[in-house]
Amino acid sequence: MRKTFLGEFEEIVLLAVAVLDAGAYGVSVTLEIEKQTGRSVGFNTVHTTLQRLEEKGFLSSKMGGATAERGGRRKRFFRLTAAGGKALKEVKDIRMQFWEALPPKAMYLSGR
Amino acid sequence: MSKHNRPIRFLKPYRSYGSMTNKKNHIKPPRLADWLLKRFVPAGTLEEVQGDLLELYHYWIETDGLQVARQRYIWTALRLLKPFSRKNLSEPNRDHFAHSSYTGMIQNYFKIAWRTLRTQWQYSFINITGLSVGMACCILILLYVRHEQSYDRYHDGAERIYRVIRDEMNNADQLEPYATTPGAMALSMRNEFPEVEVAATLFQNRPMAMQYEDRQFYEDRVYEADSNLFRVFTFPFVKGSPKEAFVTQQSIVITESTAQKYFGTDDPIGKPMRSEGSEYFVTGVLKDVPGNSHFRFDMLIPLRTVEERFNTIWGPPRYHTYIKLKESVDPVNFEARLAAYAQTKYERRPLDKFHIQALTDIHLHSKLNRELEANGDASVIRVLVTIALFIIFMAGINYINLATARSTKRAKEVGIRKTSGALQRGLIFQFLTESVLITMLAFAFAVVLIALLLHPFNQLAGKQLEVFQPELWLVWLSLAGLAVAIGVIAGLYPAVYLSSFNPVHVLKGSNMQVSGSAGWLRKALVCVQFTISICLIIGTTVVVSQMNYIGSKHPGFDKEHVIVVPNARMLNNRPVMEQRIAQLAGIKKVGASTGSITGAPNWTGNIRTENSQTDRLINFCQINYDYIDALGIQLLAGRQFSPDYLIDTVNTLILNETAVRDLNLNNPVGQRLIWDASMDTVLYAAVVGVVSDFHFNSFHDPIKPFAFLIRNNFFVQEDFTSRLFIKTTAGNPTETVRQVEAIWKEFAPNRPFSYTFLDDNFKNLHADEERFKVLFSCLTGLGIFIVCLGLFALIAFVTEQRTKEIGIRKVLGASVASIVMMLNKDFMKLVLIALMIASPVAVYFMNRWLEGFAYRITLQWWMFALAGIISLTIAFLTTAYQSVKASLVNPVDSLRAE
Repeated sequence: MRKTFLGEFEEIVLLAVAVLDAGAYGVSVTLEIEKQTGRSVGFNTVHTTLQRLEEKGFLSSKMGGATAERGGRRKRFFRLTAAGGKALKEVKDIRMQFWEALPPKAMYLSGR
Repeated sequence: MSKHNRPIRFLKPYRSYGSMTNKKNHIKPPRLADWLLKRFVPAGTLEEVQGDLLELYHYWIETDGLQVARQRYIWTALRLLKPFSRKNLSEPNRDHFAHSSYTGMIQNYFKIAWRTLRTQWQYSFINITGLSVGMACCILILLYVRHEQSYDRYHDGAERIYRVIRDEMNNADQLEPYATTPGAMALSMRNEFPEVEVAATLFQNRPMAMQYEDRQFYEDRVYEADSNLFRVFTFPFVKGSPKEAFVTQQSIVITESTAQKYFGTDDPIGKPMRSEGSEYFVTGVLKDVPGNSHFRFDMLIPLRTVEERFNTIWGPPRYHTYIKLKESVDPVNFEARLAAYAQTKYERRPLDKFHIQALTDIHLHSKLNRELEANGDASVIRVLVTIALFIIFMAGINYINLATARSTKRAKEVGIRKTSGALQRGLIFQFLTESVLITMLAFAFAVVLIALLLHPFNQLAGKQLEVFQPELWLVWLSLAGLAVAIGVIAGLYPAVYLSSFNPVHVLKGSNMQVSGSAGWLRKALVCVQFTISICLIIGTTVVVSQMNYIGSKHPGFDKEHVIVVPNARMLNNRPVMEQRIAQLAGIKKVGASTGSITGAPNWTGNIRTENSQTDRLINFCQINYDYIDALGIQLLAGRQFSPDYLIDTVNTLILNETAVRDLNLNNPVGQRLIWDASMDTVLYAAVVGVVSDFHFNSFHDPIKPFAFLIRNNFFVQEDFTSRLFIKTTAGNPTETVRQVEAIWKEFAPNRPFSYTFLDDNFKNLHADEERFKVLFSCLTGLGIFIVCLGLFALIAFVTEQRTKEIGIRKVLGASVASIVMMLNKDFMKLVLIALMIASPVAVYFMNRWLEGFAYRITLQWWMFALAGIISLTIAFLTTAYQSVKASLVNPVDSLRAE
């Protein structure tokens, strides 16, 4: 039952993986999030979130090939799974529902 | 959304950043963090994590600089160490699951332990208070002992350094041990013994007045030495070098703080220092001598100023000789060769025996004549360590007793845990966690207590202990380890006991009695606690009585109202000065002597009667005509020295009673004696008077044969008297001292004036014992406090257990008194048993302590009775509150609730 639930940060990580497409691994995801949101994100948080999302089945991962960079250590690349895509879509739909139900006055009140 | 708390750091598109890694690859991330990662990150994810982190690290260096990057790297690595909630993907069969449940269990142990601590805070409070007080005093004492044992160990090759010492012997095999040797010793060592790497001579100078420009101080830690001193010992130079240290007769080497005192921030090298007509030039500055040295100096001057030919003459034994043996030299063998050699060389006193003494043994084990400074005492150390261990032991017993007494409270918990599948091993572990947690908390409080108590303790012990130095981290680590060990040891029995409950019994609520299987052990342990505290109480009583005895026993001379002025040797016109002082109002007599009457070294010589061939060892000192009157020493027969008798300036003596007995004289006055027959010529001495015995040493030593003489042509041709003993009327001492000082300034303008009072000097003789007394009493008080805490908590539980019983008894007509009696009876019995065990133990140990005093009290029955009464009273008062409270409760209240 918790599987379908996406936390705010999880959602962002998922989105970042989706945006990066084939180039999504720990560092790129971290930096992408920092770039998009403007907040400073701990690598460790991203790392654990990626692992948790994989456990939930929203992501799949594969080790990349060896490179000369980063001390010859391989990268673990993440890809969005079908379930992940579905979960993202669901979240977006729910949000959209809310936005559409929003009376115009509310927007003024919130200062927009 | 959160605000931007820092500027966005992406000035370049990050995708292009991979190209810069190659340049930066050589910068290694912090090693410790990397090691932690390797150690704790699951192997399946290690590679990618390390790779990612390295990449980020290089990126951070680029954007934030190396410093920040390192910090961020360490921080991120640390935060990655949290146990992962996810299974290891690539190696699914690694015991990661087991690991995570294991950590979960441990977390749970801590949680439960913490809750128990909080909910039963009174119990925790008592335990932690007792343990932390015990630990604090135990740790302080251990640190103190460590300091005492560290004496002189900081020198390079300290284990190869020895001091040459000498037993002064006579032909009656009487022995007087001295730390001094003739000055020729060191040079002969170097020349004659290939085993000796280096040998140095040291001479303790008399106090000197030193002056640089307008700054004048009185220096009483001046030694004469040669540069070999720096090869035997490790005294690092701040300025100058061993080679340049003593190039001329006028060289002087000073310590850092002395340099500061005279020269402030100026460079002291080459600066002149004046002292009573002679001038020295600073050639070197040493680091201050560490506090844990058996001799400490502020200034060193060259040896040869005393005597040109000192290093070849087997002359008067006034020098301390230190040698450093080569490696792998057998000291026993060497000592034998040295003794044989020195005995043939030392023709002045052919009977004297020479030995060597390990440097590291000096502070705690050496009690010779002419030690450079007062040494410590190994037996005191032993006593302190024993008491400290006792105290921590008693605090541990408290924990055991309270834990088992409270077993009923935990029984249900154990039952439930067991039915849910807990193994005994797991439960033991849980209870151990609890006790270790308690001891760690106690340790933390103990550290706070130590910080608070350090200053008073230092004053008490007369030391400058530093306990929070960074160098001591290993000591503190092991102390923390010790605290954990105490937790484990004290917690082991309760843990095994609690975890062994049968779940069926405890859950059915059948009788889990306080006085169950652990009851006898608890009683035994309480008994042990009381035995220890009664021993301590008896010990304190004995120590205090002995010290009172010392304080009240008349030393045989009048120590009140005597001003002692040292450093008066070889002053011009001394007799005139003495006369002038004696003429002051409020001054009765002005005595003078070579030694201070209290403790400080006298001379020893040999004396015998004409018709006897065996010498007798005798202490003697040179005095002036008024000395015996000034000190109020009682004349028993004959007369005092007097200027009216010309013979007094030739060869007369005044003996004390012990000397008369020792020499077997029937009519001492007028007897002719033979003085120091080992010298070339036979000197005769005539006894003119006999004085009553007086204590010229501490009460540890028996009164020895003693002789007074004045400056005379036979034995002491010069006036060596260096101390004035000014007997005043019971007036205003400050005013008198001021007047004396004025006269001193007139006669000795270059010598600073200093003074002490004789009764203070006498007290200082027993200062160590006085300190021991206070320390012992404090520790006894602490021990009793800890026992009381335990007892208080114990009786609280016992009465709680018996609430209903008390109610029923009261309903049936029992009086409050009888119930209080009933509750206390058990403990009182324990105290009495403890008294019976403790008394013989205390008798044995206190007799051994008293044997160290030549003048001592005998153990009296009342001391034991007193200890018994004190401990009974304390036990009763501790339990009274709880038991009276319990017996006053209205039975309606205690019986109603069910």
